[in-house]
Amino acid sequence: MNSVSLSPPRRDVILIGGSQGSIVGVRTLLAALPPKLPAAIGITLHRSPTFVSSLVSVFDTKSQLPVVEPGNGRLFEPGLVYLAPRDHHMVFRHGAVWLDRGPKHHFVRPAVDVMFESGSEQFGARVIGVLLSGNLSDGVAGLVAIKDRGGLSLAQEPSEAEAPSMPRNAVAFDDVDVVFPIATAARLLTNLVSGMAIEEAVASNGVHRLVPHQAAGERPQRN
Amino acid sequence: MEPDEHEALRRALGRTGAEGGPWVPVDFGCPDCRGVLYVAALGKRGWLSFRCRIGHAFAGDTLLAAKENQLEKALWDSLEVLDELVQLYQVLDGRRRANPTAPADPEYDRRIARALKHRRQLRRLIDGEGPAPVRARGSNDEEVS
Repeated sequence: MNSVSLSPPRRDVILIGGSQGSIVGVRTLLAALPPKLPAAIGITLHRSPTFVSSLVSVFDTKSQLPVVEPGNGRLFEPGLVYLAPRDHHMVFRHGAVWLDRGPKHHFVRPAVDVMFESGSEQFGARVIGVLLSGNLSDGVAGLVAIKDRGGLSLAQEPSEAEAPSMPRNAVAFDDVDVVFPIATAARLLTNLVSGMAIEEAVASNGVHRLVPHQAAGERPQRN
Repeated sequence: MEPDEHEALRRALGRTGAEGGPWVPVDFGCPDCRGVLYVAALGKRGWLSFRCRIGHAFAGDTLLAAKENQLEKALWDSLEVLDELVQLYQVLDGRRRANPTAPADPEYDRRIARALKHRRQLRRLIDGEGPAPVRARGSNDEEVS
């Protein structure tokens, strides 16, 4: 271990991506995130380009932070949850959120990869990327970008995900820092945002699981 | 390539591959726009990413899904064109037969018969086709997604 430990970089941008099966996870997470969390939160979930869904109110009623579908150019700040609206990628520039009707990734728009890559480019090591349940593999390339620039990469525990493919591909092909069950996500993110080192937050290195109601070490580490 | 094309391509493709490696053109057309597709292996474990100049992007599995879609569309397109051909041949043949001075063309009958046979074969092919299924979840984490 290093004798001199540098304090971890400020982590104050949380970017969350998901597809099938992720709505329930996002609701659980938002209900438990503290309202004064000093981090800006962006969420991209795959959604129909045409159906004007009530996704915002689905989340907003249970969330301790207000949830909005931002208009173009809205400042990206702590205290709000920014949900990518239908048919637009959500990207970042000059500290604001922009709606981009650019080329689809994986035939979808909004795409998780686009938000992750843009966030990584703008905010570098400040980013915590979180990939939830979903089919296929949108979000994996974006998590790789986040790690490339010093950010953190988190994947939902695949065995609890309705569609495990996205987080499982992340675990297989990216250097995921934490594999977590949704029940522990809010505490984990709060700890990371507060400046706790990843090691401290999960008590060991590499890919591992936070198991609720069990101390670390009671269960063997699995990859 | 002209310098402008380089720049446009670089901007569209964004990041480079692992260790700054270049995007390499592959022999597939972009499912979204049929433009040239490029591939790079990202990150330490070589996650494949496919991108075109326009900016459409795919992973290996999403490209597979797109190409399966493309295949099915191509098969239905062929079926539709065969239908149109049969109809057109029949209409023109009918008009020719209705005109006593026009020569009959037995080739038309043969062509129609072949087209109908191919249509049946294509339809059987479509019925038997389909992408590889992906299992959702097993009793443990070891299965391949």
